[in-house]
Amino acid sequence: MTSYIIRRLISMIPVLIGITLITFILINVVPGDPVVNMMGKRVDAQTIANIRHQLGLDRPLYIQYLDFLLKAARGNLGRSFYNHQDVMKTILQRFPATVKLSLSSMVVAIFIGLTVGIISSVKQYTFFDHSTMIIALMGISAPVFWVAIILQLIFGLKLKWFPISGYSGIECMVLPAIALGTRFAATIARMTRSSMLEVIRQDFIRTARAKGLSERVVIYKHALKNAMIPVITIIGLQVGGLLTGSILTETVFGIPGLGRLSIEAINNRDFPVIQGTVLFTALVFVFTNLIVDISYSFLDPRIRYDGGEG
Amino acid sequence: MSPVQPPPKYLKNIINNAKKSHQQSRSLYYDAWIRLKRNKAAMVGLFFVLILVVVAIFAGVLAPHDPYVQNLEYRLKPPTAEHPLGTDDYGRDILSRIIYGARVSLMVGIISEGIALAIGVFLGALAGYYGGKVDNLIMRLCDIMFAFPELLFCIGIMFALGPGIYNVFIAIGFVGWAGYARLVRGQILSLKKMEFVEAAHASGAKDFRIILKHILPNTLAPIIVMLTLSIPGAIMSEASLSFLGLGAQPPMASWGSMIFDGRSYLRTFPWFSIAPGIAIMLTVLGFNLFGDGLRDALDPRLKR
Amino acid sequence: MSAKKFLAVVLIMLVVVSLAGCGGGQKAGQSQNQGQPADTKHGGTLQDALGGDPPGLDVQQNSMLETYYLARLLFSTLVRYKGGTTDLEPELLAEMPSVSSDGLTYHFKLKSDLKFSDGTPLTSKDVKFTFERMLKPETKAINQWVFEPIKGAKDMEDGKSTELAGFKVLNDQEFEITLESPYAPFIQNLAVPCASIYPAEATQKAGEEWTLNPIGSGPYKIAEWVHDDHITLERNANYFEKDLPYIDKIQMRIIEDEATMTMEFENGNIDILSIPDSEYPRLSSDPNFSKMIVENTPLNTYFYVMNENVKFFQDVRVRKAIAMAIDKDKILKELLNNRGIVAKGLLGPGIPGYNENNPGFPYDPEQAKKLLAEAGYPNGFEVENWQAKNETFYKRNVAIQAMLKQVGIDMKINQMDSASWRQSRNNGKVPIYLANWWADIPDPDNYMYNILHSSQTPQWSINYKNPKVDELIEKARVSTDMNERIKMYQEAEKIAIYDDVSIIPLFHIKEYYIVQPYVKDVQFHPTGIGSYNYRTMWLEKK
Repeated sequence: MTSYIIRRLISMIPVLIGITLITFILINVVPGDPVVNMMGKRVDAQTIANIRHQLGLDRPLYIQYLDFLLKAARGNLGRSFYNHQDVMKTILQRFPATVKLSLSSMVVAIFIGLTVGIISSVKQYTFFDHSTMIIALMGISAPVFWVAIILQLIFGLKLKWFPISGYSGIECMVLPAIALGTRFAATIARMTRSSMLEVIRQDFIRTARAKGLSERVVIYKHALKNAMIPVITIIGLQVGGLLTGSILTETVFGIPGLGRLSIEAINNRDFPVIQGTVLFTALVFVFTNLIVDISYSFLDPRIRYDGGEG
Repeated sequence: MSPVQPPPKYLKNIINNAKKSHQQSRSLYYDAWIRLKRNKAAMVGLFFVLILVVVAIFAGVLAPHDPYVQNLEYRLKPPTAEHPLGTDDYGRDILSRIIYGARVSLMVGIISEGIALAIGVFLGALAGYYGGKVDNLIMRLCDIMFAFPELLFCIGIMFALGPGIYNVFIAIGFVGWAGYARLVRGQILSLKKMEFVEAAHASGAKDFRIILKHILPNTLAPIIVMLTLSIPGAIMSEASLSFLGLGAQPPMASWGSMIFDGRSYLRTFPWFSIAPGIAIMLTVLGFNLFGDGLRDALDPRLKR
Repeated sequence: MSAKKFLAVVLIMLVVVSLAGCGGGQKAGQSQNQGQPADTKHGGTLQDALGGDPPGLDVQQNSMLETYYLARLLFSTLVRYKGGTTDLEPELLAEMPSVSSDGLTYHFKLKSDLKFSDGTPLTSKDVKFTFERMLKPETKAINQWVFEPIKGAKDMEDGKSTELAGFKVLNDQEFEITLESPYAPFIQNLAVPCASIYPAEATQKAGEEWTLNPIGSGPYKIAEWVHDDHITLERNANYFEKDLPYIDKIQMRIIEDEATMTMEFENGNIDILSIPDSEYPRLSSDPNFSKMIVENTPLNTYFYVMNENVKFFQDVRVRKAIAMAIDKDKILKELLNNRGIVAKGLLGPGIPGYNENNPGFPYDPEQAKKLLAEAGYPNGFEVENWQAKNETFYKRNVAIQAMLKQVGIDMKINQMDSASWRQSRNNGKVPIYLANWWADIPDPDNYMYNILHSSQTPQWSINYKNPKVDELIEKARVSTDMNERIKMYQEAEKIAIYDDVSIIPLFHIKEYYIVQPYVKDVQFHPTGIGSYNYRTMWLEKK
């Protein structure tokens, strides 16, 4: 197990370096200059040249990149071109909001997804199965930003049950969590259903039933346990997706998370912040995947990572 | 990222099935079609998809009004017989704009996924067939693509290419190839060792020919399923980019940009924003239902 | 994992989430009034909103609206606008500065006992430090223009000297400034928020972090700044105007989305708001909200730019045809709900030199077609409008697009991200677009030089050059006789707008604010940096 984890960690290094390189190439290929952008309407060539020099943007590109890489390896991501804050500090300030949004959406998604998925697999091909699955599919099919604004309109403005936007308490997280969570609830519900169906057909369930165990015990004790593995995988993968995919939700609801930070940084061409956020989100994604993979071995003793390729 | 990730489980069954029947692939697809026809949900999905295609192709005939003609005196009017979904903030007919918007969505689905497919299959085939360093490089590239925040990558490419709907297609396609590459590679790895490929080798066939003639046709079924289930993602990405103002350029009608334009009028003229949202939802729903059905049909183990 | 265990995990996650929620929770509650006279005006928390997180609060380093807006709360300038008018009055100064007869040397005297919010005294040395900091290359400043007329400013910017030759400290309260050459609007430059005075010692000590937590001598100071969420300001006890400001605390939410911001106002979570275009019709027709609307006329001009480096636009007849093809009245009425007036020149009402007698370009598509035919484009042509992504600009462009179509011009609209667009515009590459200028100072030079002088037109992508116009603008710049200046500006405007059609003036736009009834005595900043006069505002409901 340990050697597997070490191997995985080592294999991350080229991926992360590749990500910084691609980001670096992209930000330098994309038109738009951070300094010109900062200037606004009044533009003065001398001022631009001066600020470029002060920010080190007049150095050769490969030196800029190597400089970034060497500093990043030591945890120094530089300072924002705009508000001059330390990028690492900025990211750590913003990360909790994104985590909070992701976790609350996950709670919503898991709760709805599992309930719907289990019931509709047990009551396969009934009206409940069909109708909940159609609703679940509609959940996947509606754009998150659209659901978000409709929730704002109904529960925020008309009914005044929850705040329309903001980040000042758990009640602020309800609408964003539902907007973002329903989409993943649908995915989880479908995965749970199909995984349950597959398991229910297997021999050991038949054996359990034959042994005269009650249907409840069969479903919850035996079937669910075995059906959970692919579901956990999906959940794990979604967490990675949630952490990086909440940009629009954060924008519509005004949550000060990483997604908004990265969009702003791109719009401003704030190079250090772009590099920092992309690297950080990639790191989070890669680590969640690792954790998901490791957790398999606990869930399913048949999976061992020590021998050969995983 | 694990060095080698197996394809998703639902595809594995299809792959196994395809492998088993590589000799008689016609019957595989025939059987699948029979199964698909029996699946009501899939047929509903197919129906939605066909509606989208018909509407997109015949938009010019179907739309009651010119989607671009403005009538500033007739802005934001509620539905009437003349304008079944009302008019937008420039007095343009919303229904006609939704009908024309179907074109953008269909094109984004076809072109973007076409690009992703082409890149993915090419790189996946290279990786799987040659193995070794080529494989390693391409798979690391896939890992990078997966770990890169997707929307940000899209936006980066969009900015680099400049505005325009075709650049949106390219950006979305360019971001989405890694899944196909992984799928194709995995299959080729296993197919490579099978008798019929070795036989082709022995008869002196060229690598490229072997890949094209013998290996790829056998990977077709899972690719079709993946494609059908990826199209909604592409449609959604376009809507998101348009919502951020980076997608379709005015006056072109795109559902994403219509939602964005309409949201400030959500309380007074809700249909302006709700109608295109429903259009997206039904389209995506159609592809999802159809894709699910296709998957079940190509995987007989899930037969009723 | 059993179902029970799984449920437990879900529950734990719930608890974690709710705990996290509580941790971040901080309500904009009522703050306690400490040692304040108990009268009706003092106290309370104003709930305000910003459209975006300020990119730092160092006014020397950026000129974003949000930064300027906060600068009026956190800092003081030497002079300021009196009430909502464009007349100047002393702020940090004891009296308006006196000028030597040659218009070169200004004598300043500060109020006595001025303090920054941290209690340190504000003296002439801080003023000198502030001016020099702006001009030093290491500062990475962008607003040097306000101090550039001072003698020796260029040398500092070039790194040739480290001291400002034209600034002489006489004593703690008094100093003298000498200009390179006479520049009539100099005093007005000192009222721009970017000319705010910094404390020398604290600024140097803070280094790069200054912009995140600056110290000033304005009515408020920063209590908390959670990026992209809110900024909380509290009353500066050391503010030099006794008893002011009235409001104890200002809670500024950062809400990018206009629709969300309006909803928050409607729910009573925001007290004052600049009404977005798209929300105006609804709010103004709602009996509850229409009576809360307040109007402000800031100084601005919206105009259409046609790049003279583009083949079609080299012909003045084409430029004139476009001017006649745009139905300004209709856009104003239908899209802007009559918020403003049609512009007939670059200078608008409120700016000295505004010419009421300018004829304007009548809407005449037939004549426009004729002009296009004369110019050799009887069937029109295709051109690309490039615009930074902006909803309101986009709407106006779409309307103009349809109008140009009527005369045969096929204008494609390309919305670009603002950074790419700015670079294209700066390189003189944008073919045609909708532009605007919001005055920094109420002086015609601020418009005429910055937009129509040939040294400036390339970076606007106007690429207009007329030596006669340049000469008039340059002469008017250094003249000290206001009547003479006005005459020169009006002549330059006539040539540049009516003879050459270098740009097409479209509108001067009014701002509408919506203010909760319990917010009293709201005054707006006259040049329109979207700021109110918080010093004298008070709340009826605390």
